[in-house]
Parts: sequence; C-alpha cells; structure tokens
Amino acid sequence: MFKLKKLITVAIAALICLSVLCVPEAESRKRKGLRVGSAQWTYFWNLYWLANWRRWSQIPGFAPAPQLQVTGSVVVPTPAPPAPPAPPAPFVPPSPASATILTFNNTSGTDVYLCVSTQSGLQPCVAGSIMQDGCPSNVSQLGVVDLATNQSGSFVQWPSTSPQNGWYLWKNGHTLQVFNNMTNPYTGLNNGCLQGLVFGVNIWGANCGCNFQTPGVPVPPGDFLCNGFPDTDPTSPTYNNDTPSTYTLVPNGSTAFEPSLNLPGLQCNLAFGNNPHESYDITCVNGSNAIFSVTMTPPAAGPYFTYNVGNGSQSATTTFTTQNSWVLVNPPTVKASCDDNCIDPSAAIPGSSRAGVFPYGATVCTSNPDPNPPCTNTADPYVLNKQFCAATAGSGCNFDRQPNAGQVFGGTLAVTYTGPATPPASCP
Amino acid sequence: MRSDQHHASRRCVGPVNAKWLLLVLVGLALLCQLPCGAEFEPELSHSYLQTQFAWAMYIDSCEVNHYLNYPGSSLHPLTKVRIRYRYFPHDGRPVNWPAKTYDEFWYHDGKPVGLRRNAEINLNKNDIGVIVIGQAADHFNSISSTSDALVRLLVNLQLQRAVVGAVIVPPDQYDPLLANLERYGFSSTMKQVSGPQMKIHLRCDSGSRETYLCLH
Repeated sequence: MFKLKKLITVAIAALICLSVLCVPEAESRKRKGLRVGSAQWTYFWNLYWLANWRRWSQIPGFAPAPQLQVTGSVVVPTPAPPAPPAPPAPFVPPSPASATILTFNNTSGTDVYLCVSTQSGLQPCVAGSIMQDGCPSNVSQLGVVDLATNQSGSFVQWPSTSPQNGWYLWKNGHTLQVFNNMTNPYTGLNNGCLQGLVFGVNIWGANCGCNFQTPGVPVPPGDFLCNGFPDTDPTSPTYNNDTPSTYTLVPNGSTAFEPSLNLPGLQCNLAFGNNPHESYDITCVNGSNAIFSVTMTPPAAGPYFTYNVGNGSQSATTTFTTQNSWVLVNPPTVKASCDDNCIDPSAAIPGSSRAGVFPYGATVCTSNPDPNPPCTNTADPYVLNKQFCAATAGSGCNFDRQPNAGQVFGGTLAVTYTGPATPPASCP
Repeated sequence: MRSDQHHASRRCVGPVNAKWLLLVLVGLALLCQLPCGAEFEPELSHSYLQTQFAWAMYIDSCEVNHYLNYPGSSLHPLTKVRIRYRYFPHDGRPVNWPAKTYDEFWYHDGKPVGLRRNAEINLNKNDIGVIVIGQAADHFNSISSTSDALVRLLVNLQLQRAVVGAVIVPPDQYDPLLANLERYGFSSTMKQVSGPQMKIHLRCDSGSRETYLCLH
C-alpha cells in the first residue's frame, strides 16, 4: 500500500514536470504549424529530436532558425582593435629656444611639494620696483610641465592673500620644468625671464622655520610659512584652505634654491640694472631642510657662469655641480651647533667653500659676523651660534654670467632634490 | 610599556643566560663609546630625536635560543628582530607618548620565518622620521636579518608616504649593513633615471660617515 502511494506520487510529479517542460515546446510547434500532440508525446518527441538534431537539421524546412543553423564553420569577423591614441605631442614651453632651461628632478624617494616665491609683486615701471620687463611677479605667471607625464600645469597659490607664493606636487622620480608663462608687454613675446625666484621643498624657501621650538609647544599662529601646509587633496572640501592642515616640522630652517635667469636687462623698455644677466645659488642663510644638487650645463660656446672659490674667480665651461648640506641650529642640549655648508669636502683645494652656497646666517656671504643675521630669536638659548662661518669666496656665493655681444643665454640648470637635510646628533 | 619590555627580554634572553648576556651587553656598550658610538635606546627618548624628527623607529635583534630548540629542528637557531616606534608630536599634543613595539620578525639563517605585528602605525604624509639601528645579536646572521627587516620597514614606510630622513647605524654595523643593502640592489651610484625611486640615507651616529643608497 505504501509503495503504491509512493509510486502514484512520483508519477504525478513526473506528469507535472513534463507539462511544465513540454507545454512551451508544444506552443512553439503550434506556432510553427507542426503537429501538436499531448504533452507527454511532445516530451518524447523532443528527446528524439535532441538525439538526432544533427542529422535532421540537414533536412530543408526542418532546420532550426537560421541564426542557429549549423552548416559548417561560421566565420565571425573579428573587429579590428581600436588604434591606440596617438601620443600627445611633447609640451613645448612658450619660452624662446635660446632661454636657459630650469628643471627640477625629485630623487628623494617620496612625493614632495615644490614651493616657489616670486619677487615682491611690483610690476615694472613702478617706483622702487626691480622687476624687469616680461618677468613673472606672481605664481600665476609661471608654468610647470611634468616631463615624465608631459602634463603642464601651474603652481597653486597659497595663501589666498599672497599671490607670490605657490606649491606644486612634485612626484617621486619625476622631473618638472618651470617656465615663464607670460609675455613681455613691450614686445608681445615671451622672453623666458625667471627673475628672483625662491624655491623650497615642503615649505617656502629661506625660512627660519620653527627653530628653537620646544617639543610639545605649538609654534605661534600667524606665521603661515612656519605653521603648516594647506590641504593638498583636490577632492577635499578644505582643499588649499588658508588654515594649514598639516604641520611642517622645520627644526633647522629651510633651504632655498634661488635662480634669476634670462633677465632682459630692461625695465619700461629701457636699459636697467646690469643689462642681460643671470645668477643662481643655494642658500642656507635661514637654515637647511633639503639637499639640493644643482648641475649647470652651459652652451658649448658660452656664455659661461663664473664662481669664486679656491683659486678665485673661475669660469665653468663644462658641466658643474654644486650641493648644499645640513645645518644643526636646534641642538638637543646645550652643545655646540654647527653648519656643514662651510667647507666643500670634495673641493680640489682643501678648505674651499661650497661653490654657490650661502652658509648659515651669512647674508653677505663672506662676512662673519654678519651685520644683519636673518634668524634672530631672543628666546634662543644658543644665540651666540647665529653664524658659524663665512664663505671663503672672494666676491660672493653666486654663479653669475652675462652674455657678450651677439650671445644669448642657454644651457640647462638641473636641480635635484636628493632628500631631507638631517643633521647628526652632535657636531663632528 | 615596561611590561612589554620585560616580556621581550624574556623571549629573547631566556631565564638562564640573562645574567651573562647582560654582562656581555654592558661590556659591549662600554666598548662602543667611540666617536661614532650609538647613544640611542629602544625607548627612543633621546632629545635629538624629539627635536629633529616627527617619529622614530628602533631596530634591534637578539638570538632566541630557547625557541624551537629540539633535536632535528630545522629552524634553530632563531634571530628575533624587533622594531619599536615612537611619535614626537610637534603640534601641541603631549610628547610623552611611549615607545611601543611595532613588528617582531623571526629569522633563521638570515631568512624570515615569522612576523608578529603588534600595532598599526599611521604617520602623516611627509612627516620626516628616523630609523635607528640598535644592538645586534652576537651572530653573523643578525646583520642580514636586520638588513632584511630594515628593507621591509622602508617599503612599508614608503607605501605610507612617510619620509625617512636617515638610518642611523652603530659603527660596528655600518659596513656589514651597507654590504647587505647592496645585495638588495641599493647602490651608492646615483643614476639619472626617471620613475619612482627609493633612497636610504645611511649615517653613522656622529655623522662621521654617511652614504646615500638608491634603488632604481
């Protein structure tokens, strides 16, 4: 009795399944004008068809829909892959081909911010202005191209009240070229002038920083150069907000690279200053937070930069590299502070200064004591250590050049940021 | 913190050899008072670190003779490399953050066989810190173990975009560590290449020696 019930149950279930499976097929056959049998019959018909469909599919009129017909190999043409987009043409700065090129290479191993300050902002032909014609006086007149990605951009002005200060994200391993992005109003042309720029890393250059700061005591508010860095995430609601979001620890002041390139020697279209002129230096006058290595490559036929160390004034007729070092002006205890920028350890003549490098506190380069030391702090317990040396250079700590008649500028200044300047725990 | 330190000592030294090893360490510490001698301790309380950096890490190593020490053990002897870290807030927050253990590596024959991460670190981007190489186990494998842990730590920090201002090395470990880092592809020869790079500023304690190593 139990077996009979079970058998009936299975049979009913099978019938339900067959109906579900076969009714749609029966409907389909009906639409096609084919014979329609009972559901069960249709089911077995389907099984039979499935078993013989390869053979039956060759019968005209019994073939499946054309799109399913298999009559041999179907060659589906493979669409050609889209052609890769042509690489963008290399960005060409608007500066003249004869201009000296200024590049910045970051080999520090980390992304950093390249900070720049321009001159006072006074335009040419304004009383007291030293700005020459066609030279950028705010950061919006400077351009930047990342030579690794060929993307051009501009410095981000910060803070909002200071158009002379800007920052740019300087990716690890990337080389940037900074160029003049304005035209000389008197000629309508870009003269490539980069007058009196001050570059720093992660803080604006030549800044006394937060020297002598007691750990745990915040620096006084108001000094935006010392007090922090804005939010640099462009997706953040506080992007570039004037309220610094990142504290910048600068215990020994900051390094600056100071180029003044492609100067036309004209103001108000009249001869000005010492005519066409160029100079550059690395300054640790206000301390050191970064190691810059500057490699100058002159044009083969000049004009050549001159510098003054060791044997007096010399002309750099081939590639020449100079580099700064660390300063320890925030010693942990009452110990002597020191400056590693006084002597070039690789100089041919022992005891020579680092070419083109201003030691700490030496605004006049060769004067010690300096008549006007830049980083004064009456609360400084090491007030006597405001300067450690003067350069042995005879006439200054710069590289300078002027083109002769018929010459133009040219060549390259390649600045490499090799990493932070970290002094040792004690002076050697 | 102190409890953690004691536990670490027990694991490293073992109860029996503690006294002798302590004497040896004291002797070594006395011998190491050279111009280039290390003055830093695992607690990272040196004022130089606090004034110059936003964070500091300390790497030391020791032999773990009582671990996996049985006949036929293929992992004995073990060298334990410990990484401690400490923040130095300069934004007004209290500075009395204690040093804590970050990672503990176990090495056999210079090869890593284990890692325990005790904490997560969250360093601010562009915060400049320092790594201090501390006491090494009295075993030639300890330098290669320390080198390996250092490289792993540097990669970790680079991913966090933290800046390592310097790696401060005791004088007796300077040359062996330099040689080991060269095995990882670090070179003191600077090349003009584009693309991401990694750099180590190796410095002897007093600054009497320093080497910039690049990984291109």
